[in-house]
Amino acid sequence: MVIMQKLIFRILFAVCILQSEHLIGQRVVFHEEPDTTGEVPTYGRNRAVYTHQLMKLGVIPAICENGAQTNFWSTSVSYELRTKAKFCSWNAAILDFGYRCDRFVINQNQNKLLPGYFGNHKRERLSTHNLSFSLCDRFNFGRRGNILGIYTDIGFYGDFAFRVTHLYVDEFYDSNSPVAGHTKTVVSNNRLKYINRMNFGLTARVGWEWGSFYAMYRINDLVLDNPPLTEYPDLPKLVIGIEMYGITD
Amino acid sequence: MRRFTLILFILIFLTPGFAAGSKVWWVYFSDKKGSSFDPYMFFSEGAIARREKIGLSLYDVSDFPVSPSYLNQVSAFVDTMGYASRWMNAVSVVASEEEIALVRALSFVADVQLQLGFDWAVTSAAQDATDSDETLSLPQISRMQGDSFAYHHITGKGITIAILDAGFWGTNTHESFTQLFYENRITHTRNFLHGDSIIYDEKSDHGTMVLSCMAGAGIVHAKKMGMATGANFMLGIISKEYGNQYRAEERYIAGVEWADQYGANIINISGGPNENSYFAEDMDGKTPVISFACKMAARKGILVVAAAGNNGDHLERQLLPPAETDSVLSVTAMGDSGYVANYSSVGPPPDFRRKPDICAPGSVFVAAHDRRGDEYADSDGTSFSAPLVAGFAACLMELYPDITAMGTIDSLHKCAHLYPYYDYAHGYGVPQAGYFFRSENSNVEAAFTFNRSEIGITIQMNRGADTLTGSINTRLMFWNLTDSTGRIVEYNVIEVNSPNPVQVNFADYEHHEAYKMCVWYNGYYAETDF
Repeated sequence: MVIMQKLIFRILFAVCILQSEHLIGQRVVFHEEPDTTGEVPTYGRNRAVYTHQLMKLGVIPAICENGAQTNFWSTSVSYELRTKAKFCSWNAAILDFGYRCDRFVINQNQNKLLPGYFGNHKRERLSTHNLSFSLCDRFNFGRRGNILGIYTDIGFYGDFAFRVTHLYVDEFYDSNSPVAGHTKTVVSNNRLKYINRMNFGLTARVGWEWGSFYAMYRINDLVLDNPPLTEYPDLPKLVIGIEMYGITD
Repeated sequence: MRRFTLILFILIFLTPGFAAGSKVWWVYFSDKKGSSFDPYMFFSEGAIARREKIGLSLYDVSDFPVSPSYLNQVSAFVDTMGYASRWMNAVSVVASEEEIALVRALSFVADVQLQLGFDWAVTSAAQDATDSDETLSLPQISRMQGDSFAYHHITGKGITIAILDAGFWGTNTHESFTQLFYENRITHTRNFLHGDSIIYDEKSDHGTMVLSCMAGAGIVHAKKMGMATGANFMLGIISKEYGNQYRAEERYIAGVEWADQYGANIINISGGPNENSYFAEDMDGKTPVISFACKMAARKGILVVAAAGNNGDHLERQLLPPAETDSVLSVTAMGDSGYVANYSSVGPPPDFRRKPDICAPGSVFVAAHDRRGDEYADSDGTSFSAPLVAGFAACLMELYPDITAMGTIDSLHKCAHLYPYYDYAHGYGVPQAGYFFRSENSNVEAAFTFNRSEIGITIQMNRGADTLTGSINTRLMFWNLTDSTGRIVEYNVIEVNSPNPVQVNFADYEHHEAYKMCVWYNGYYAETDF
């Protein structure tokens, strides 16, 4: 009972403290200090410097060498920070830094020739988790105010794959299995020596205020050969997709 | 694969080629040689009367048309000829860089400028009206004491208001405008998008809502939404409501010159370019071409009323053209709480002129028309503050037939509820019609006194000062600090809940050169050296 009384007293005391400002003070409902310096802002979409977030959603078209065919579900997803440094009204440097995950879903057929466990599986995919950066030159078009406007970016990118996972799933019938005879095995291999950790390529974009269409083309091979024993086909090099900007002024 | 990649990259590289196609340009001429002009043929009676009222020559060279000979010669070099502006002495053309280089070389071409395409920045979408929303129709009039005009049967009769907007969908069938059409008071219509007079089919009711803030008089609801229910109107569509507008400047200027030609006394503009088109420092009343056009209209004796813009929640909250223009009456939106609405753009312009001029209610009950057939809506935006003021100004012009546009602006300043207090968000406050019908200036009891000490200044409320009167019925105190150049370095609105609501320490303002503190509370204004 005493504890209850103390609790009620504390609540009432807190309410009184909170209300006291309204009872005896004044509330500033609007406050403005105009910039009287006349200085032109340096930060903004079409100012000297601008930074914004972006998300990339891409697909990896199955344009690949024989033996490393992928399918439609191969995707590339990124989250990046982009900094724009403006040189003049039509030209700027664009620096991106962020995380990207490429997921190659590998078709299972007789021609498949990839390192690791040979043979066909129920499902098989290879995922790379990358720290990614890119440097581009931006060409803007048209007269505009403080907006990104219409632009084309062209430049190069580099990745460091800090984690690579080769995963495959097999299903087979096992009469000794307690689960109705069906057995499913999931094998995930990491620290793969046959995957190139450092990758680089070209990138290009055509965009407008809220996003862009982009393409990335990897120049080097992702899958390392194992000479003189085997020369592996490489996984698809091209990614195309859309960028969506998180612009909050 | 390589072929595919190659095609993709070629497409990206070709983009500059697409961007480098034909563009829209203004070609300025050095003179008007060979141009002939008969003002009695060209101008309406109203336009002539307006010029005579301000003592402006009917043969002012700026009203002469562009030289037909120059137009002929330019047309030989370009793809398309657009509007020829008599005020700018320029013609809009569509041409490539190569073609425009040939035009630039002509001896009579003074300058060539790339024309700007811009978004028509308008209010946010309206919401359907509910029964409770209809009560809003009362505050939007009563906050400006509009009933005083109605009581004296002043409804803007004989005044012509031009509305340049994005569409008047449903205006011709809406019950709120029955009287307007019955009395044939829509004198001119023009669709500058299509070059004809058909305006009621464009699928935007923004202009319909704006018109209702001047002339809306609901039959079912039996409530007036605006004060100028007896005025004449010219309705012009100069833009689509959404998207970047190709040749937007051209239509804008054509609209303003059209309003002048057919005798508008007031032009209401509730939209225009925003920060997509101009940097904040370029919205200075000089750089935007449309600001020039509006300034010219003001010189011809037209009162141009412009909405401040709805940039209040943006990083740069500047007034949007033409609201930043000298001689244009710029209007911000007052929120329901008695101070500026959070969406409203605010001043100052880059050169610290006293813009905006005044504010008016921004949350309104309007006549609307949409695909679902809704007839009324409640909506927010400076788009609606401006026409409320335009309607008010029409009543003022009817009340004082000899008043000029600049005289009207001056009167609107003086009748505003905060006057002579000023800040960059509220201007001089909300105009009060009652000001014009008072037999004598009533003495306002001193609401507060300044207590000066070595530390700073304290505002001491006087006894009984919290008795609230007037149409803006709040406990709000407005105060600002002005430096020696007249720039307001800080302004505040506070809710008074104590006997000493403001305590300003000199030490906090050492970095400023503030020398004057101005305070308004409940109709009482006082200032002190800081």
